Amino acid sequence: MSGPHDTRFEDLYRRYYDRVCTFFIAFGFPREQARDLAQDVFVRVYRSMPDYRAEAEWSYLETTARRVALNEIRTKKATKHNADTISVDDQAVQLEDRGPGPEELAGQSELHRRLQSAILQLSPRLQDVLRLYLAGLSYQDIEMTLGISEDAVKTRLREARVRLRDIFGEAPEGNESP
Amino acid sequence: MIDKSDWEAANAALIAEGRKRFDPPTVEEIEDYFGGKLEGDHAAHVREALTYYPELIRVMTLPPPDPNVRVLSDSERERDWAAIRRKLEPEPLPFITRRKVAIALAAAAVVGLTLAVVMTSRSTSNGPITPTKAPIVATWKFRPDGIAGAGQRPLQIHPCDRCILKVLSAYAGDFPRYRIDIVYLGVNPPRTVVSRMDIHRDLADGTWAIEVDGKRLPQGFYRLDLYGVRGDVTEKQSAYTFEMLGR
Repeated sequence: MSGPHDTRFEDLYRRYYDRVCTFFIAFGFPREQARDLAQDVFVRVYRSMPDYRAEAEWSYLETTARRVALNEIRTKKATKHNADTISVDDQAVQLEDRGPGPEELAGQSELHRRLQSAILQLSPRLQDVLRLYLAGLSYQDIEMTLGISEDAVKTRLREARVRLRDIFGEAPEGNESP
Repeated sequence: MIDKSDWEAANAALIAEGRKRFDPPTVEEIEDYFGGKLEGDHAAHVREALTYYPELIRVMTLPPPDPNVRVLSDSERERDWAAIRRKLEPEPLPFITRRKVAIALAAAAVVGLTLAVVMTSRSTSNGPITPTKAPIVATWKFRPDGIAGAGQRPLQIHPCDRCILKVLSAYAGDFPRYRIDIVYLGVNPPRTVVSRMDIHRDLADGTWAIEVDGKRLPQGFYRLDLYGVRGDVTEKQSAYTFEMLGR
């Protein structure tokens, strides 16, 4: 490292490195991995220093951090997918680690199969909202993802619950008010 | 009363099923989608795919952390600074590559010497000198599809004997190796005509470059795909469409 932008780069590092690390921790990465990924962000920033405009410092780092996080998650998905398809032994180990016995597992899987069947009877627009809600996303996240208003998110969730009660007799709990 | 965790488990199984049908959208697609730059069927496809990858959604929707937050100790910060500096050091060429370079230089010297001898003997014998046609070496720089917005024309490439194709990608992740494929789009299904492994990013201009014999790229439309490679995992990073013009 001995380029014309080194002083500026070091200044960026001193001011923003902790914040970038915190961002990765907030994304859910373990602390050590968060540090590795934050380093990747700054390596990328250094390489694009000639194009970098100083007036948008954090915005530039934030965009790069999100890109690095997306790349990392997508890569891990591919790795996991490969592992899932080739390793039967790993699945056996995972089942042993869970705790419930075979009968309980069979009962759970039957219940889950029925719940899945009920969800699949919903219309696609209701399924989309319910899928994201049950995956733990907030109303605002769902709103941004599906491009609908927060009220529409809540309305669709209520509608999904009504339909599930018709189909299955029960529905997942919720707290969205009209 | 069915526990919420049972609904969540059932939902997780449906998400796992959905992932068999939908690959995660690329980083470019995700950014364009959340930036409102995708339309129509493409936007609908990305939206549906994203509903099976909530962890990717979280990356885009999570607000930035407090600017005053400090999570690292001074020693950790210094160690990480040193690590970044190491990552920015230019990598020495591997031994095998150094040998290849040495052999190539030696071969070039032999060829050059031979040519010089031939030219000298021709010019001294006063015989007719047949003009030789120099090979056309052309360098083309690509930006990924979609960067110039919808409806952009693919980059047009004039015929070249040795075509050096350089691609830019702001989205590519850091991988130990990269692969470039060139796919001919004039047949159904499209056919890969060039595939080159062990491509490295040029630190000087941030591009990945591939040199291709022009004979392998007859007139027509092509797509160049840049992949990142880590171990057994190959991840598509960016795609570039171009048109090879006729000679």
